[in-house]
Formats: sequence, structure tokens, C-alpha cells
Amino acid sequence: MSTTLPLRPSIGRAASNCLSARPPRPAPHKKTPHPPAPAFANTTQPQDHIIYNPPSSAPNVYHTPLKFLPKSDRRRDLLLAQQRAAQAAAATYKPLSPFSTASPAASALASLSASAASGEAPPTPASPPIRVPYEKKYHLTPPQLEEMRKLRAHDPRKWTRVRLAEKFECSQFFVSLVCQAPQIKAERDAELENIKKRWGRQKRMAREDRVKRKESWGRDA
Amino acid sequence: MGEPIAAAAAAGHTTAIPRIPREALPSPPLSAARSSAKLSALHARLSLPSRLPLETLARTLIHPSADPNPDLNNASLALLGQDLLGYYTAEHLLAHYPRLPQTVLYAAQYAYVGGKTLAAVTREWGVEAAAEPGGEVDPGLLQFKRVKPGTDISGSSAGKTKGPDGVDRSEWRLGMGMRNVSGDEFGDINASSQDAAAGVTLEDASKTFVRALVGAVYLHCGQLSTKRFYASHFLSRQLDLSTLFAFRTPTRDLSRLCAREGFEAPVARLLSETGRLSRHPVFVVGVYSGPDKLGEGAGASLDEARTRAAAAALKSWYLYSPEEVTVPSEAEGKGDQGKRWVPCMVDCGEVIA
Amino acid sequence: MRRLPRLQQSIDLLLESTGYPHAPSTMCRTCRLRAASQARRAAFSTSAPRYKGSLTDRLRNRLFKKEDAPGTGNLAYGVAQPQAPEVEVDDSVPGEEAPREYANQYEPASTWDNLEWVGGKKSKRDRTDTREEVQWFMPRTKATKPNDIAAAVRRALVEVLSLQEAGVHFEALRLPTVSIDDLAAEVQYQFSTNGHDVRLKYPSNEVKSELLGSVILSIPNAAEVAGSESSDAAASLEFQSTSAVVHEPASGSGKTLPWKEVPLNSANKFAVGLQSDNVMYMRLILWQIIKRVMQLTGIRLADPKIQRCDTAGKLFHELLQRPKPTKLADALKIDNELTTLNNVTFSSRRVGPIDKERQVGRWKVIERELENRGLPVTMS
Repeated sequence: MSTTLPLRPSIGRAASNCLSARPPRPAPHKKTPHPPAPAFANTTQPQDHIIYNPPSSAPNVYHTPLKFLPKSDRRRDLLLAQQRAAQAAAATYKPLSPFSTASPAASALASLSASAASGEAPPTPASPPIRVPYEKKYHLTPPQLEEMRKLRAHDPRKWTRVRLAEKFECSQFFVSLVCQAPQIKAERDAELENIKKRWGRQKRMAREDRVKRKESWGRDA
Repeated sequence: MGEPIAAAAAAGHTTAIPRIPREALPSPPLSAARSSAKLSALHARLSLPSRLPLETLARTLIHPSADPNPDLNNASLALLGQDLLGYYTAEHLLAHYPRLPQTVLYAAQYAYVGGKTLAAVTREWGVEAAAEPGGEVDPGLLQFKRVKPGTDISGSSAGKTKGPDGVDRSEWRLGMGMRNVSGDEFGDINASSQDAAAGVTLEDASKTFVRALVGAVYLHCGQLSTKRFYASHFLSRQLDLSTLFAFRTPTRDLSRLCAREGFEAPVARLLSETGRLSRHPVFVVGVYSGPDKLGEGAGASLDEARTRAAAAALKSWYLYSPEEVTVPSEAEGKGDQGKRWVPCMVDCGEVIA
Repeated sequence: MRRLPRLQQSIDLLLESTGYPHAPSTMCRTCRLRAASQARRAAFSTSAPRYKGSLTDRLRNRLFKKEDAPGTGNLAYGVAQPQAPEVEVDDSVPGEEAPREYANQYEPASTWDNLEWVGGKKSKRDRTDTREEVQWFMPRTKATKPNDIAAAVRRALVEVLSLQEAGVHFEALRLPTVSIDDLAAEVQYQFSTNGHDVRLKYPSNEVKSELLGSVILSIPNAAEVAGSESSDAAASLEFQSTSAVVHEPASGSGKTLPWKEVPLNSANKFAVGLQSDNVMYMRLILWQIIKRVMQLTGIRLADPKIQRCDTAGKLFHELLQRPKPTKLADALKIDNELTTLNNVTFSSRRVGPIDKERQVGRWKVIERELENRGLPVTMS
């Protein structure tokens, strides 16, 4: 006589009316490899690579630039070879046609790589010279220098360095090399002393600091 | 009274010598070197070759102010050691940095084997000083007569102010030529010529000891051991040569250099900037000779950045170091003992603007 | 169960006078009465005595497992002291007799005449007792010289192995009177043909007889054990030769061992084919040799050290090792490693502040300055 137990539908199983029958476990699911998400897909480099992105820092003074290397140094040839290879690589990276619809980013990249390979700064407005370069003129002759001296000695207040430089089209520094006016210098120094005496403590200290700072420019770098 | 003495002499015994207390001796006797733990410990600590005896090591610790006997103090050894140290350092600097300016060379030499460095080395080696020299002092202590407190040791009074022709030079400017000709290996003219009997400072005694030790190592163990000793204790000290430079007008010097070497005139270009109108702008300037960048500098003003860039460029010129360097002392030795001599690079000189 | 205290009865007062007459004066009358009554009560017993004899007699009998055990009586005095009287139960009330008997037996002396001396200044010679000489097992002083220790080990080896060969059962060998060191040095050691044991190889028969003679001499009970009446050495030798030899003598063949390599405990080596009683026998030999060596040298070895002695050489090495000195100064003196170190200095005295100042050279300055100021300088 069978016991009055609540019957469970056990399909495909032998008649076992125990309550503790577990539900049948599903068959293990065959895992298919998922493709990586598009954000993480590696489309540029098919192989493993190293990214070299050092932080920006001032160049090391112990690394002598190519121009300063003597001719007998082997590193000069190595660097030159490296530059040529980089230039060649940059040269091959060209757009397909002269009327190419290449993106401006790509063209900028090409120009950058070309410039980096040659180790030069592109002579573009991105790096303008601080002082406009000028040609040094060595046009003054000794008679002109004599004239400069005569003028200065004759009337130092009228023929100042500035005016003489304008007249002879040279620099004020050159004028100071050529001719001197000691009494004017003494006057100017005395004036400066008077002005400096009227400085307060803070101003004096600030000016002194400025002098020290200027000295340190040549020392620390 | 002659008989007993003759008898004693015949018997082979000497007359009784009165025992001198150790305190009466100016320095400890040589026999005390074997029983001093400090001395043996120093010998082992410095890994000195076993050919260097303890007695010599004890001698290197005795300054002439403690014991004037030249056979027992370290003056002669120090002379040899000073020359050796100067030689090795100079050849190292000149061979590895052929373009160094003279002042920087002097400064680097002093940094490697100068008085202050040798005093620091003595302290690092753990050599302690005796309070007062004497025969009862432990032989492992540095013995010297201390200068009395309050003595003027600035050296300003002592100096060759009068030349051979009697002209007073105290107001003359000291030029490089004068330093080259009359100065010592560091370019100092006012060499310490004070009286040793009056006492010396700890720094002076330390540097004499270190020099004497190098001299003793050379005499007992040869050049190879000395070079090894020098390399491990002095050449291994880190020195950043770029900090020894001090330019007054770097831009002018750089332009002179480029003119001399035949490069294009240097042009300073602004590479990047930020905060031009703010209180703390930063300008990064690069100095170019034509298309080649020579140096780079950053500053708070354009002038500062330009000056720093020029200074960096000059430093990179002066701090050039050849790849493979053969130092003259390495090539010493007969036949195949020394390395093959490859001539060092000789520079034409620094830029004089 | 403890006796219940009962109230003092009138009859106790009568017994007061006969109670404890010689009690010390420090006891009060009540305590005296109490003691007397307790003594009486203790003596009073209605049951028959359980044991015959005193406690000590009973213990002695139990230890020796016989009735009349030796040592009855006080041995120290050599004369049997009168026993405490056995208290027998009487039906009559034990009254005055019991305490009186006690009182008669013991009386504390007031002077020291005729009393026995115990210990004290009297030397061994003056002792009048007939106590027999105590035979010390080991000498009081330990042998220190390596030569002496080596000689003792070799002697022990020869003696024990010769006894083993002769088949004599091991007895406690007494302290030797005859020195056989020279002879022991000449004896060689060999493995026997069956490869199990070590045999002695004598260079000549004279040596052998001399050795055996001296060995037998040093065993006082050998003759008794053998069963012969005479203690003649020759007779005992004869007996040895005629008795059943348990082991075969050393043969010409076989490798000669140096004495240091003689295995003492070869049970490990010859494990194959070794019978159990043979193992025991080998261990007995080890024990006998060590016991003999202890007797000769006076050095006691700890058990772990004995376990480690596989060969006579190792035993010798263990014996050589002296115990560590208890004081640091002594330990430092014998420490060769430390004393030969150059950068270590030893000072017989404590290094004080004056010594340190002297090493640095400052002490003479201090002395000079103190003298200049007329101040006393401490005795350095």
C-alpha cells in the first residue's frame, strides 16, 4: 500500500517519491568566447607593445647634443643614422594623393614626426625667436670711430649713447665700448645713489633679491 | 765602579734602564700597535691588504704636531699620498671631462680629494681623535696637537701678499694664471703654512691621515692596490659636476662659442609659455643654432628663460664625456701589464668672452 | 579514630606524682599531667600487638626480605643499642609501671663523658670504630690529561674484552692496584672470523698471561665466582683456560683495528644475522667499558653522550671534553677564538672612566690641572 505522499511530477525519473528530490541540474552551458567590447578592442596594434610616454622634463645637460659632439665620437654616427632612418620613415608616411582628403590630424602627425626625426623645431610661429635675429654689421671704419669719440667728448649730454647709436647704426653697447664719458657716469651714479637712499627696506630688499636671482640664473640651471 | 760594570757586561747583561712611563713619550711605542683593538678593527674595516702592517697604520695616525720625529709621524707618507690623490683625481677628471673649465676643474678636484672631503672621509671611516697626544694613548686614535681655542685660523693674515720683487699683492685680483702657477692642486695660493707646533685643526689632521694612509698603501702594496683603494673610497663618491658651474654672462659666452666653433649664431626660441600676464608666468625657451637645439631652460621671465637655456647649452658643451677613456695610470706597466693606451681628447680651452 | 578526650578524673590526681617526674621545668603542671596521661593511654591497649618488633626492624626485614636482616642495631656505634621495650598488654591496668620503665631507660646526660663523637676534628686514623673501609666506586679527582684518559680507555677495553673472551661473567671490577698501561698499549684489536665481535690480539703469550693475571687480580670475587677455593692467579688462569670458552679466540686472519676504531656498540653495523642476545651482549660490553673507564678516570658521562659513543675513539673524545667553566673569566681564558682575535682586548679589571680618559690621553691633562689647583686627584 502506497503512502499518501504528495506526488511530484518526476518526468523521466524512476519512481522515487522522496521529498528531498532535487530538481534536475541543467547541463553545463558551453561557453562561447565573447568578442571584446568595442571600447577595449585593440585595433591599432595587433601585437603587445610598450608605450613610452615619459613626463616632460628639462633635457639632461650630460646628454651632449649632436652638434657639440666632436667628429671623432662614435655616437655622432649613430645619432645621424638614427635621424636618417627616422626621416625615411617619416618620408614614407605620405598621403596617397596630392589632393588627398586626409584628415588634418594625420597631416599634422606627419609633419610632427618629420620634425621630431630631424631633431629640429619646426620654424613655425609655434616657436618664434624671442629677439628678432639681426645681421651683425661691421661697417664702421676707424675714422668713424674717431668721429664718434670726438662727438662724445665734445658734448656728452647732447651726444648720448642712444643718439650716437642711431647716428652710426650700431648698438649702444658698441658705442660704450668705443667711447666713454667718465663725468657723465659719475653724475649718473650719484643720481642713482640718491634715488637708492630714498628706498625703503622692502624695496631695497626686493632689488637685492633681484640681483641675486639674476646671478643664480647662470648657476643653477 | 768599573768592575761590576765590566762583569755585568761580560756576563752579557745590560745595566738596568729606568722605565719611562708611557705618558712621557710623545706617541705610543710601535709594540703597542699589536695590542690595540681599535687599530686592528680599523684595518679590518677598511679591508686594507694584509701586506700593510699595523705598525705603519699606527704611524699614519700620528700628526707631526704630536711627534716631531720624522720617522714616527705621517708627514712623509702624507706628502706621497697627497701627490697620488691629486694625480689620480686630475687624470680622471681630465680624461673623462676634457672640456671642463679650469675653475670647475679645481672645484671638482677639491670636491673629490680636498680638505673638507678628507675630513668627512675620516669621520666616515670611524677614526676618532685623541684628546691629547701621548704615549699612553690608544694607537688607533688620531693623534695631533689641538689648536688653542680662540686662535685665528681664517688664514687671511697668512698669505703670500708680497711677491718676490717686494710688491704688495694683497690688493691685486687673483687671476687664473696666478692660481695655475702658484697654487696647489686646488688652485689655492694661501696654503696652510702655519706652524705645526702651535697646533692644527681636526680637519688638517684628518686630511694628513688620509693622505698618509694612501701613501702607505702605495708603498706597501703597490699601484694596483692603491688604485683600487682610491676607486672604492674616493672615486665612488657622487659628485654632480653641473652644480659647480657659475656663469656670469652665459648668452655672450654661448655666442662666442658658436662663433669659435663655426656654428650658426644661437637664437633663443620660445617653446612654450603659460601665464604670461599672471603673477607667475613660465616660459620655456630653447636655444637653437640653426635647426639644432643646444639647450633648454625655463624661467619666470623671458630673459631668465633665455639665460638659463644658454647656461644649459654651455654646460652640455663643457660636460661632454668621451665614450671609452684610457687613463694614463692604467697604461702604466711594462709590456702587456697596462691597458693599451688610447690618446685622450685634448680640448682647445674654455670660452673666454 | 582519635581517642576522645575524657574529663579529668579524681584518680588522675593520684597519679600525678608518679606521672612524668623528669619532665622539663618549662612544662606546666597541666601539660605534665597531660603528657603522663597520654603516655599511659598510648601504652594502654586492649588488643594484641600487631607487629613484633619496632618499625625500623620491620622495614629492614621487608627490604632484605628475610627475618633477621643485617644491620639490626645501630651500626654507627657498632654496638647494638638496647631496644625500646616492647609494650605488652596486661589485663591489669598499666599503672605506674609503664612510665617508670620508660623513665629508667633513658636519661639525658649532663656531661659528655663516655659519649660518642660524631664527625668533628678526629681524623680517620683515630676512629675506633670497626666500620669497614668504604670502597669508593670512582676516584674523587678526575683525570685531565689526554694521555691518562687514553690509557684508561685502552685499559678498560683490554680488561673487558679479555673477560669476555675468557667467558667470565662480569662483576664489578674494583679500583686497580696494578697498572697495565704499557701492556694495554701493545694489545691489538681485531675482528673475529665471524665478523661480529672484536677480539684482542696479544703480541705474545707472556703478554697475554700477564694481562690476564693483572685483570683477574683486580676482580676480587673472580675466584669465588669460578668456584675454586684458591685465589692463586695461576689456578684461576687454569680455570679460565679449561672452562667453557664461549667465544673463539682471535685468529691470525682479520683486519687489525687501531684502538680508537674499536666499535663499542656495533649493533647497528652488524644488524644482519645478529641474534637478540648478541645485541644485548654487545650493549653490555659498552656499558662495562664505560663503567670501567669511569672507575679509572673519575669522569662521569651523561647518558646522551654515552649513546653517541659508537667507537672507542668517540668515547675518548667525549671524555676529553671538559665541562664548560662556570665563570665567564675562565671561559674567556680558554676560548682560543676570542683570545686570538686582534680587535678584542681583555682587561683584568673593570674599565672605569679614568681608564677611558687615559686611553684618550686626557687623564694626564686632568691630573696636571688638578695638581695646579691643589685639588686631590683620585687614586687611579
